[in-house]
Amino acid sequence: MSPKRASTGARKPAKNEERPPSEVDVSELVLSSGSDTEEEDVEAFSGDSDSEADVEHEIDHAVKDYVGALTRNVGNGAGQPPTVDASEEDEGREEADEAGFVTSESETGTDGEMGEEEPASPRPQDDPASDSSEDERPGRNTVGNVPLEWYDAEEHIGYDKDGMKLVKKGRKDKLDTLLARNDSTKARLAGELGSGHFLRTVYDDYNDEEIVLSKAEMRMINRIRTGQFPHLEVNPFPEENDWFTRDTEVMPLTGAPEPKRRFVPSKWEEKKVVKLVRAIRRGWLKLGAPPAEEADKPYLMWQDDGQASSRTGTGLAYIPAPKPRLPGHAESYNPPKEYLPTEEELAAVAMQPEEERPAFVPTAFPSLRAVPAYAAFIKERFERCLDLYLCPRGRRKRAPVKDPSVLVPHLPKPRDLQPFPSAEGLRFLGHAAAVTGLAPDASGAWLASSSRDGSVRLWEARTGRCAARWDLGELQGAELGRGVAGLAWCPDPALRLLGVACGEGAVLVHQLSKGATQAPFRKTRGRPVHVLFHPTKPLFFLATQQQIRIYNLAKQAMVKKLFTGAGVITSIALHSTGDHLIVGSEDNRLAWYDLDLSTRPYRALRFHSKALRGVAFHRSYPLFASASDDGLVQVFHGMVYADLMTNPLIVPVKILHGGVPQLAVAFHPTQPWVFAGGQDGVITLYVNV
Amino acid sequence: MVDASEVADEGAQLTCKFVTKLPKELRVPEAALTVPANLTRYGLSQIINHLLDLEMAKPFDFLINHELLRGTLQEHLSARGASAEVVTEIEYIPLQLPPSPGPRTPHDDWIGSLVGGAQGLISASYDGAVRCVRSDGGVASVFVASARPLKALAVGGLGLAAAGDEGCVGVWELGPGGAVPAAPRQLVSLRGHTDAVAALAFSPDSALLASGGWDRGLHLWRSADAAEAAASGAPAPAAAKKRRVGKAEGAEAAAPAPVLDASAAELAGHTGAVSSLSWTREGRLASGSWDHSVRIWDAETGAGVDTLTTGKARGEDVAPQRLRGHAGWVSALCWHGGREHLLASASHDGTARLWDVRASIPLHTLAGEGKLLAAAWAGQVLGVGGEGREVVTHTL
Repeated sequence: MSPKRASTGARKPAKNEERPPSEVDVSELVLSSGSDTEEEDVEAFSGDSDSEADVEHEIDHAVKDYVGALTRNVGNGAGQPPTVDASEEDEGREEADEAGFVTSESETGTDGEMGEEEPASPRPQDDPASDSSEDERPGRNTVGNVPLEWYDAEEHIGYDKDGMKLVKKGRKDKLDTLLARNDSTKARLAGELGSGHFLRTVYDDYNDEEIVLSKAEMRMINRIRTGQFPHLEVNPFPEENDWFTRDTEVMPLTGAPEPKRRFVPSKWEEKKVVKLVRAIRRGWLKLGAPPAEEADKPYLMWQDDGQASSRTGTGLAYIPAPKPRLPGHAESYNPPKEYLPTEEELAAVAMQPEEERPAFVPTAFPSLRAVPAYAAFIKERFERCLDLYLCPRGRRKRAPVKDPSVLVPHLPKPRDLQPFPSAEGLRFLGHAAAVTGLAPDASGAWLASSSRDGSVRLWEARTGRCAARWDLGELQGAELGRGVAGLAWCPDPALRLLGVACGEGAVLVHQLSKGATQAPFRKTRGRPVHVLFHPTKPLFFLATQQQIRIYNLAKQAMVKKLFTGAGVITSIALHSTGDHLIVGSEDNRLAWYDLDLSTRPYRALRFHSKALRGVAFHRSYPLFASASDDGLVQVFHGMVYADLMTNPLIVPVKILHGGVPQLAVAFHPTQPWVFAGGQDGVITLYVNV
Repeated sequence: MVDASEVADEGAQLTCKFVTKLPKELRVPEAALTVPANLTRYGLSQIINHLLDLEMAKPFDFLINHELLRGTLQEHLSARGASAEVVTEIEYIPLQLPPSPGPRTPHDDWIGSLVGGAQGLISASYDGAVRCVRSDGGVASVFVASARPLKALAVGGLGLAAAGDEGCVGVWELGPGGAVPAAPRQLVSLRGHTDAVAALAFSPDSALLASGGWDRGLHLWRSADAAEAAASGAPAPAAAKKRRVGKAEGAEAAAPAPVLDASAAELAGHTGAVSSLSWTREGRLASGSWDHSVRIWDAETGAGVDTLTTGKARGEDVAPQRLRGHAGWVSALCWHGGREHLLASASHDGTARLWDVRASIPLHTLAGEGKLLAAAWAGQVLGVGGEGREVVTHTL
């Protein structure tokens, strides 16, 4: 062995990790199979250096491994027993040694390539033409792949192919081995042909024989160990013939005509393109250069501390707790003098009741050491905890609406809903104080109005001429006259009767034909605001400031009670069908009740910015109007359908600006005109143009 | 002739031919002339005057295809899609000069109605009085016709008919020559309306009197029946009682007038108050109502001939032409007796306007006083009145 090889061998254990797995396996085998006793024995007999012993030991084990594999593969096959060399068997060691190979040590220079050629060992079963390694060394033993320990106590090691016992020959002892080695060495030195194969002799304990490996086999082993192919003639990289190249051949390989698919766009490519286009459109694929990486810039660590982060790490909505107020100069242990209370202020604080005293009075201490324990600490912490605990954490989430226009109901355009009052047509001037009530007569020629000045006037609706004036203050006394509660025409057009109610607080039913007056209610709940008769049914509507009750006059019982929201009712009006009621209240709300539907408002219209004072339905046109303290008269289209399944259509069509608070509103009975009475005593007639 | 350089400067030109129906001394040769297209009425009038070479310039108005020229020639023609290549025939008529304001006649109360009589304007007032206004502005005669406001007046062969809020139509005898005497005799009282009467109109031959009122009724009264009732002189007792109640404060010097209860015909159809009545020359009656319609009636048969629905309120607008200009309600309309295209209107906006219906803008705007409620022609004098308590006259 060359010094280089020896040094390499000496370093081998350190390089275990770097070797390929196969070699690691081999070395593992070596380590596990090699016993210390053997090594020591070898050293004792050889007296060689440590490095040489290591190398030979490895070779020995590798060979043993190879041969073991060979023989075990053909363990059952009938084969010629390998030639047995003169090696003695060590009885005591045989039990511990699983592999059971013993190799003799030798001097360096036994590598196959360097040494002389030696003919293969004479084994008649070897068929040189056969490529199978199994044919090379047919086993003598036929016991099969069974543990050899079974035969430890026996005289034989198994059976040959004829069923005869193979008697153990017994291994050579150390002395025999030594002698054989010496013989071999001598023979080699003497130049005898075929000698000196001691180092190539391995023991096969399966067949209980010694096998002398040929030099070709040793070379093969060495090649395996170095990771090469066992046979030299194997070429791992044969010359490749590229039959299919990108170069266009003059003669095609096949004579088949070009298929159609060569000429049509590829379906699969198209599918792929569609996928890509879709991904680009949906933003899964980003085109263009990737966004430049943000350079590491300085940033404010506490930037978000003041702001509420709307998301937690889990993506859930999160409302951070309110932050406590930070201490200022006044809370300092030694605040500037301007923060310190004067003696008068301290005295004033002391005079206050305990609940009203400020929680903290700035006090100055000469040094931080002099600051006493903070007495209110526990209380403050408790209140802070209470604040956090009671803090409202709800967050109203708006519905995700992409297009706000979908929220707007589809209503017809006001110009399609004409006629409706849209311009001022006439002014009725004469009242000295706010107009409280308006009542056009059935023909539409006259308008009666009442005012806070205590007068009732009759106007010619066509010209604005005041045809008559009655001063109720003179008739009834100033107090009564000032409180003209309401006025109404007799529904019978033949009877030109105008009823005027003064005073307040009572509900009376007057029977004109009998000239009698009844008080239908034993006690009144709340202050009555307005009363109405149903146009066709014997129903009586009583609106108090808080609620609306509907009584059946025939049964003398209450039929319905309408629930209003908050707010004092100021006016009501009944649709000409009698099934719909509008209610104006002081909370700026106009509520539409469908009496067939519910006792709750069908719709609440909040279009005024101040309290409503008057509401009115048109007798024949689908119109209703509201007058409010904000000076506006708003006209709505309120179509009621005879079909019970269709809800009323309510569309605001016109806002009429009266300028001053409008207290009364009434529609002309035949024309789409509306009268509005203002606080300044002016009655305005709005007409359609 | 028109200055050639001026024509060249103005650019577009058109060829036109001037025709007229005026007397011979005002005619110009009917040769085609080339005039600048941007000429207005004034420029054309200058051309005519130049051609006529009158001593005193006379203003003219111009009709193109029976429409009065307003604005430039080019605008007028292009708005009507007329070609500027062909020879345009332009008729010229004397320009209607603004009427001169006449005297004012103060009244005690609002004027509800005006009618032109033979001797001047007759006014019915809200105080129930009928006044005959002289052309110099003085009141020729006055009598109280009703205790309640009068809203309608009509003058016919039978006499003077006046009605108002009282609901009955009173007919008074007129003096010779159509003069209103100081204390006329009431011929008859026509009772058929249950509510105030808003309109009265005698037929052209005075054989029929139509009355419309707030009770939506439209009654036709035969003059012969009224004359017969007046001749019989038998007042209905109930009516007499009513009249005494109506004139409680006295002035019942005259004996109660005979009453005609039954009208010759009641034309049913209107669903609103009948507020305006007018007769055509052919004897058809047109009635305007608060139900947004104008109905044409055949007076002989009493059948409705046609219904014209107006306004946006109900249905389609069938009016072929609209005269726009008033800022308030138009309360009265009256045609000039002699000029077929001349119309006067009174409005709540306090103005009266003169219209030539061949143009859509008014000829002249006349100032009134307060809301105007009535207008009437008396010959060449237009009188308007209303809230201002005076009859304002304008003379053509």
